[in-house]
Amino acid sequence: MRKNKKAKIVMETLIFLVLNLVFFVVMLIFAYSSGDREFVYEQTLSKEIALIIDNSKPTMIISLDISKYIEIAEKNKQPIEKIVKLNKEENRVGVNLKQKGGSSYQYFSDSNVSIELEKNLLLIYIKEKNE
Amino acid sequence: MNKQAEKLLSIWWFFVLGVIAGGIVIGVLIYSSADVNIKEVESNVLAERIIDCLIDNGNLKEDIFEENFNILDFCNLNSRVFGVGSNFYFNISVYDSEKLIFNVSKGSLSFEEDCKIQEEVDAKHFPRCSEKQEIALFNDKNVRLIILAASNQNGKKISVI
Repeated sequence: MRKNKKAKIVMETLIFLVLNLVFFVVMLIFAYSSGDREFVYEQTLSKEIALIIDNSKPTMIISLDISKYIEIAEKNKQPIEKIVKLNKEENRVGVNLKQKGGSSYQYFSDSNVSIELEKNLLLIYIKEKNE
Repeated sequence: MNKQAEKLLSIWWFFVLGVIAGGIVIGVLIYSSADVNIKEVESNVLAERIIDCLIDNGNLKEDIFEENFNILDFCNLNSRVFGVGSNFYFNISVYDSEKLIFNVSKGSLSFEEDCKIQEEVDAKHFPRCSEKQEIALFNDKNVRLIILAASNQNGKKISVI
């Protein structure tokens, strides 16, 4: 009888401890996975590139260090050549740091824009409209 | 400690854990939904770009008074971006003394009113505006350019471009 009671107390304490442990593990995993919110980075890079394009003139070449973004993309198994894309039909810069989703931003310049990735540098070529 | 008190304590303990979890989740959600707002910078860039394109060495370019003058082509601005439902707007007024000698607007025309409202009230979804004034020489006379530019672009979440 006494042994039974002791076993019950041990069991209750064990369940209590396990539940607490589960809670803290879940919270830690959630906080850790939330640390790298790609969407904020995607937004930042797309807006930065759009502003660069709008602020530049034809025959300029601008180089932008995107090593921080490449790191995030590699972590998400996103091919680096797919990180930044230009949609010339809509004058949009799109940035995808993960395989699904992404962020895009429109630029108003009518220059002929093209991009190229060289190691950690994103080269933005600004050419005349009809070039 | 009696059994009843122990049970009550563990219920409170889990309630406290719930509150902590809620706090963390809310904090993370606020962080992840943070918006990088560059509307004001963008309207500034647009206004500067127009000034840079219309004034050369302090002289107002004569082209603007030509019959088939197209401000978008002249300033290398995309006509589709400034079409119907545009996220951008600009107005250029050129004054000789107090006389308006040139005026053109492109983009979402309603933004002009929105800019006035925005000055009075800070509205989150309203465009951000930038007004610039420049003095330039035209026909040996000083003329005053007033450029009002506005942007209300929020960007888009995309799945595939």
